[in-house]
Amino acid sequence: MAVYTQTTMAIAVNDLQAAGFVNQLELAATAETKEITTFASAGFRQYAVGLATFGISLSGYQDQVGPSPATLFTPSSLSGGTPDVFTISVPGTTVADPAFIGTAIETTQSEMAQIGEVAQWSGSWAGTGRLVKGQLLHPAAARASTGNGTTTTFTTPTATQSLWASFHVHSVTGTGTITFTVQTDDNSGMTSAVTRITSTAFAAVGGEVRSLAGALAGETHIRVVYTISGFSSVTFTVAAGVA
Amino acid sequence: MSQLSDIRHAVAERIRAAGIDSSVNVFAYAPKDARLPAVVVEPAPDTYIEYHGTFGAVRVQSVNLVVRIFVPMENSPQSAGELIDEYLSSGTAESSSLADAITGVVAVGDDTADVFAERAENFTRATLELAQTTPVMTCAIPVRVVLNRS
Repeated sequence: MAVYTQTTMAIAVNDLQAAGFVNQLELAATAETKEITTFASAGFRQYAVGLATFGISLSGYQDQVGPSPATLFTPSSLSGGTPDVFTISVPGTTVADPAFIGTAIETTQSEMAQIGEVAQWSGSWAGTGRLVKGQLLHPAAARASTGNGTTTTFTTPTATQSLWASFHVHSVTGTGTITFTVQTDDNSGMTSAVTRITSTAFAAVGGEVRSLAGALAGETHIRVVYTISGFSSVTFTVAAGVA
Repeated sequence: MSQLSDIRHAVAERIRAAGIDSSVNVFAYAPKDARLPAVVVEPAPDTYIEYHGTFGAVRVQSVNLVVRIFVPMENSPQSAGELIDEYLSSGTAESSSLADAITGVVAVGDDTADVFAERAENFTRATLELAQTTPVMTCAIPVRVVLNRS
């Protein structure tokens, strides 16, 4: 891949497919540096890594009706609301596209209005917990029945790492549930697939991040399996990563 | 028809439907010839389309148009100017308002687009060259159309 001009991204925030409302995004991760310089440091300062954190800022155009950033904008979301679930992928159209997964609490929100201009909005979130870099297992698309996502390769976690997965149900038609399982295997045919993570049974739109700690020795391939009951159509995004 | 063509015809149709003046001829594209007064929907001369308003598969794009008014000056510059002023006035009592006729929501395929008349500019005398050369009074209304790009 070469340097590129950014025109397409997939940005999932809880149930919202936000990319169509966003024209600027910043995902910034930082780590504190703690000085550990001693007389044995040969005249150069030495540092140890302290606490790490990440933040997300989005801004773009607003729509006050239907699925839009306006649904994220409630006063309660600034006062102890449930953390929002993020999956940010570039370009976010194909299985195995790079994806960042995390949960974050909203810290600022603003609506900008100027006569004659397109209504705009912006919001900032502070990460709560780990930021995971992984890959898409299922780009946003509608499914009508139970099935398996495309299998892709992955690097298995070590004993001190975890497998993380994010699930976003963007829209549903009818009544029912959809449950996701993330499976891994040691072969591309997934002939001996083992379920590693099982999501909540979503009865409505929503988002969730789940993880499984520990090594998965020998595993090389991963996929999502979606089990649809009752719904005639479900549009969803799933991503997974190791950290 | 293309999406852009739909937009230009939709803007023209909004002006026709508003019935601002029974003598006004409205064109979605520059005509070969036209009886005046006339209103023509044209692409903005500088930036016609801004494709990438937002990211994603369904992204926001802006289409910039200009609705140009042509009024003949054969009788008198004053009557031509007064007629254009009538078209440029806006408000509930102004039944000939072009800005009010243009601003609204139009259907584009299965989607909709917001249409906004921004201002009026370049109120000036000019020469309109169609089948024959005609001295006119003209003015332009920049129009912004915002819609999702599928």
